[in-house]
Amino acid sequence: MSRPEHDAPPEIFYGDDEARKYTSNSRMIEIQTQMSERALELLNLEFEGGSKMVLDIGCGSGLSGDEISRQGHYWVGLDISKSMLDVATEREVEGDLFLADMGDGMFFRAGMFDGAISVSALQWLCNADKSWHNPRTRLKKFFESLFAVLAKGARAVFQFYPENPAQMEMITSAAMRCGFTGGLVVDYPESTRAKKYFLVLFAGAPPEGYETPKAKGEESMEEDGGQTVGYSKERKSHDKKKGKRSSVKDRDWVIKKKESQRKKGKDVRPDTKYTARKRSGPKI
Amino acid sequence: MRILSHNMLQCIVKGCGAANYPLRLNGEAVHKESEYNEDFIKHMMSKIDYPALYQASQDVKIDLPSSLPEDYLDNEEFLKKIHDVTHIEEGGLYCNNCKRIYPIKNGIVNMLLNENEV
Ligand SMILES: C[S@@+](CC[C@H](N)C(=O)[O-])C[C@H]1O[C@@H](n2cnc3c(N)ncnc32)[C@H](O)[C@@H]1O
Ligand SMILES: [Zn+2]
Repeated sequence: MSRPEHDAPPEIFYGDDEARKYTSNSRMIEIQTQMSERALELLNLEFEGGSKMVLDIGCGSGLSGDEISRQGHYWVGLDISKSMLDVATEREVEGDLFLADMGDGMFFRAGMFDGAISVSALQWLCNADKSWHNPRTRLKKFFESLFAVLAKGARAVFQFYPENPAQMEMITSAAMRCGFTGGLVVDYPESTRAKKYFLVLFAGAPPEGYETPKAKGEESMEEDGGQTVGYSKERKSHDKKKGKRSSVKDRDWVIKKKESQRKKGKDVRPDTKYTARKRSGPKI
Repeated sequence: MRILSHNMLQCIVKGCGAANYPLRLNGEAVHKESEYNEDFIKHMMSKIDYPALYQASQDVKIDLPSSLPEDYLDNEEFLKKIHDVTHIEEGGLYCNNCKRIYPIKNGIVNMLLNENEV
């Protein structure tokens, strides 16, 4: 697997050419959207119910943000690449955009967010891209400040590409030291193509009655307990206090939005039978 | 950036101190259409710092009551006003405490810090 974080800092790698792919490369769009959808599923905002305020870390072109909007929630996003954020602006995403380095810490008041997601960004923090960067210090600053800006019991879900077990350990232990509980969920652990790592964190203990999310495609892992690891303070309870499900944006919403973008002369993908369809899991 | 998001922002320049909130706003308010979501705005009202919201509204000349109406949770006209996505497209945020300016260009707020600020 290629490791772009070894070659250049993120604000350089995600320049105009790379950013363009997020509107033109349908395979890439599909994968990003799928991972965002899964991250949101693991975030499980439905547990509390209603429309929530979500932070998207490394929000880029806003494909992940669109998924948040589609599920009836609101978001603000931050990203270190101006080119990526320009694409997000061009795509007229719903969320507010901030040009920022997550390693410098979160710049929000305490308790503002009901959840956070991050798609394919966290591994970038493990590199030192500036002379004054120290990955451990930056990870600490990041998780500490993230803990503060999340509401009590809120979740943060990171899809990321750990380079090796040592890096995974560095990231997870940094999060735990800052007060998070939770652990890794590995989907399709036996497939080289579909295998995906999700770090699922709780700001404090998981809420009462909250059930640990399960990894996908781990049937054959049953004997050794599967790949959902590292959960602390898990409580099993059956008094599910499910709230009202927030409104899922339907196909009409997506088509209406595309129409308005087209009117403004934007280059928007044509509506097809795939537009806003419910996506199924990755193909393995 | 929405006025509602401004309410969540604070200065994180190293050593800025406790008076890092709220940031002052500079720019022209642009009105954008959005679907009213009563459930969401009521939820957000529990997080909003009203004095900061009022100050921001003064900064960019939008009309809000100087104090939170007592019946605000039942006051649809007021809630709609808050929900209205008033954007700042060009301008900046200003920290009264450490004098740092965070520029806003094309709707995007630049929160990048320099080496001596982290
Ligand atoms: C695979 S892209 C994510 C795409 C995004 N989810 C979307 O929908 O377009 C990873 C993103 O992480 C961002 N990133 C990497 N390092 C970062 C950092 N230190 N702070 C903020 N964003 C960062 C990159 O700029 C890039 O846009
Ligand atoms: Zn300051």
